[in-house]
Amino acid sequence: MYQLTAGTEILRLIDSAYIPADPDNTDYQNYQQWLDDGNTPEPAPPAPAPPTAAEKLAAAGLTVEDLRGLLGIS
Amino acid sequence: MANWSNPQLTSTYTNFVTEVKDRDVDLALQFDGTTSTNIPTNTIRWNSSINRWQKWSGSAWGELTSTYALNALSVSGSTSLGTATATTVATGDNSTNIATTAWVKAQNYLTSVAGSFLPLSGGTITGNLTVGGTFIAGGDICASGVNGGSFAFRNKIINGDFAIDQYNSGAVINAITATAYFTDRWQLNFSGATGGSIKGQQNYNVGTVGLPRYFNTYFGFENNTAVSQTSADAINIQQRIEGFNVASWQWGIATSRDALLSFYFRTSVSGTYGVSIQNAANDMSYVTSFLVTAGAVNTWTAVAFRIPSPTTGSWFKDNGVGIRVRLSLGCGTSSQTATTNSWISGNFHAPTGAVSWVGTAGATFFLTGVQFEPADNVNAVVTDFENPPLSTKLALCQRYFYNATQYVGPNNAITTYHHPVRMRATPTVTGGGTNYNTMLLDTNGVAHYRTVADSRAMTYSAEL
Repeated sequence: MYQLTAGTEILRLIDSAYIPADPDNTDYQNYQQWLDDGNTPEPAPPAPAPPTAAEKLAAAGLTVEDLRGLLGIS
Repeated sequence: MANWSNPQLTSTYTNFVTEVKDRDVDLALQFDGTTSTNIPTNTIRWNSSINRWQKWSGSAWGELTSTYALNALSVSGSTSLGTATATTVATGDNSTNIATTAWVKAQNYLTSVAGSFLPLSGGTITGNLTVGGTFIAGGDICASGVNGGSFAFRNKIINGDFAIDQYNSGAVINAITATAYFTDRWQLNFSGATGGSIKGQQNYNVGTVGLPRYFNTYFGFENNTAVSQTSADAINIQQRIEGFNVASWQWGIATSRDALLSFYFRTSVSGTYGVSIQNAANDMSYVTSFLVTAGAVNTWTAVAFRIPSPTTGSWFKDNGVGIRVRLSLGCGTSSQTATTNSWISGNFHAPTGAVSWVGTAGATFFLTGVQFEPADNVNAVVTDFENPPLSTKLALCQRYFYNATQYVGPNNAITTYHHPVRMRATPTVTGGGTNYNTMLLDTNGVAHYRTVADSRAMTYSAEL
């Protein structure tokens, strides 16, 4: 079983293998054969929502108070 | 000068003493330089002018040495024995009849130059030279190739001694998955409905099995359950050789190059085992076999096969499958053929009546030293297993597969890695985990990221 991704690669679900769309790649050839056999891959998962401002601050290791201090906002 | 007919009764007393004295002089000088007459036949004299003993025939002095062998305890002074008489050495004569000149008549093995001479220095042998023993050269050996091929990288099988095991790091595989790589470059290829269950490991049971001479690694298989194969079933140990690596053999045309296949095996099941060489499409097959007698089981044994090159068929010379090399562990009648040791159309793995190793529960099979080398010369012989440094072996394998622990950064910290070597094709990647993605992935490297940065156990596969 396969799943499409946001890019050109294919995700093989049984082992989470990330298969490039290279005609010389054996796994991709197997995927093409799988398609020729009449199968259909699962759609790509929805793109993750862009991170919120709070999430961006958290990823940067900052708090709202830290940001206020940096900007001189009391 | 004496007259050996004298003295006579008619001799005068004045001549009598002279006639006797002249004879005494001849005897004292051992007839050396004598011009005496009426010398008795078979008289022996010393001829100081030529340093020879001679014998009087009644009319002339002849060589005493032509008739009699003269033994001597030693010879001092000049060792010149004059001109030796040439002796013809018969073909096949390996006695010590060797001429003392600088030329040795070559008869025994140099049949192509029989009747001529091989100089001890210089000269050219225009035919083949077969050496039954060790060829020892005090100087350099200058040669254009081995068996009609190059000296190095003759073996087109990669990891033929199973020294590299990136897939399992030497751990046992309890049931090898069909068509999966049980170790680098090697597959256990199942086809048909009845596969079987086979355990495998690098150096499996080495304490019991032991190592064949000059090898430190092998791969061992044990059959978990007996399988009754149907006509469509087949199982074989397989390596698919990349077309680029055998392109110079030019298989498929009239001027293509023959090959030699050799390996060491040990099996617990007697019978006839099939070996096959095939193309990518499996529509050309060369099937040969080897027999394991009941008395030869559980013994490391070396076998070799000469594979004449196919002059027809489709043989890829790019990064696809060039040649398949297969060793059958059993197949149904659909994969068996009565036509062996010649190229035939179709997909065949073993001769008719070949053993089904998978039909015996607990059967074992061990394999190493697999070599597939060019043999363009009709007199080509199997050479010792080519054993490059481990780093080279590993690099050859990493063109098709490698694993590595890599840091995968978050979206704003893409991490980039070069593959250890240029890979055969853009590889399939595993180990990235959730929300893994790549900014770039090709045969040369990867630039990847994921939502949450992590150190990941990655694998990259561009297997054939």
